[in-house]
Amino acid sequence: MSRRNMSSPPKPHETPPGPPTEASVDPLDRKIIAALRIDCQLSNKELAHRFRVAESTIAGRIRAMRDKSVMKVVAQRDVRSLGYELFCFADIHVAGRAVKEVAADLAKVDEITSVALLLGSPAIIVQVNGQDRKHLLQVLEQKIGSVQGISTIETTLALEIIKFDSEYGELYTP
Amino acid sequence: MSRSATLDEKIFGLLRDDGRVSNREIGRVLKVSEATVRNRIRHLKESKAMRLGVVTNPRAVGLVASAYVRINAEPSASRRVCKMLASMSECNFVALTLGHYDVITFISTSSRDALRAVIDNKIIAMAGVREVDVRELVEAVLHRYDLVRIK
Repeated sequence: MSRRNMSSPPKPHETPPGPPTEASVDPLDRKIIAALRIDCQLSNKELAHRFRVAESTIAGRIRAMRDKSVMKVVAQRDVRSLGYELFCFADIHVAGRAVKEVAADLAKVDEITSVALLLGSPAIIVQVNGQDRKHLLQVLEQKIGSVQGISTIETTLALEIIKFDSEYGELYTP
Repeated sequence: MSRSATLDEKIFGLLRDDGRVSNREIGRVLKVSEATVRNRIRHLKESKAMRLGVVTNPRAVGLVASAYVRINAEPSASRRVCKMLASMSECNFVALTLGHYDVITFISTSSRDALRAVIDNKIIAMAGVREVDVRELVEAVLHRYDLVRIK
């Protein structure tokens, strides 16, 4: 697969509104989540039967959790199937610009899959995906390097990923 | 792009936002048969290009304290440290790395006390661990749930 005609995967939704900030699930919600973790295609009917509630209750709970960005059943793609073989962390040191603004710019970079804000320095740690060394360098130099307010970038390359949980993510309401 | 690749993209696009959409509904929207949809999804899953799963917002399920923990380990101990970390439910991510640190892990817990307990009692106490650098998160601005690594 050549780099030129490979389109970067689009971000699901560009601007996240406010996701929930505290635990907002009750025991039935937790049971539904646990059951769907084992088999996410279980029908509402089967779940209703299992937890002895009405099918409409299950449908309502699943819809409410989706709407509140608590839980979603989604399709997830392996980055390697899109040609991204390299994975690295970049510590972003910020100076002369608000950290939030720098983070917002970084979140727009297609190859960045995670942007975390920290107290202290580095103010931000991002996860960067690259197709090969040349591409990764290009992303670091041109895309990340062109963001205003970054004083230093320190990178750490993953040699082998031993564990990658896919169960958590920032779910935004469309 | 081949025709099946284009169809795969469209199927993924529909499932990305709602993984519980039925094959029949996907077929209706994309004007292909239910059997075609089923076959393409099976192919995507078997080739590990895609998975269907539950994604939760960590804070919504009570995981409010998280941190990147970077570890310097004795050279011969790095892999063993990784394996021990990977077996811990609090560690969502574990990798062997090249750079100043040998191992990076991401930890999610229900409180700062719980976070400290995992780091102090489990990680710092681990044989072979020489130096531990903790970076506690104050906010996740972006964490894409649609791009992952499937085992």
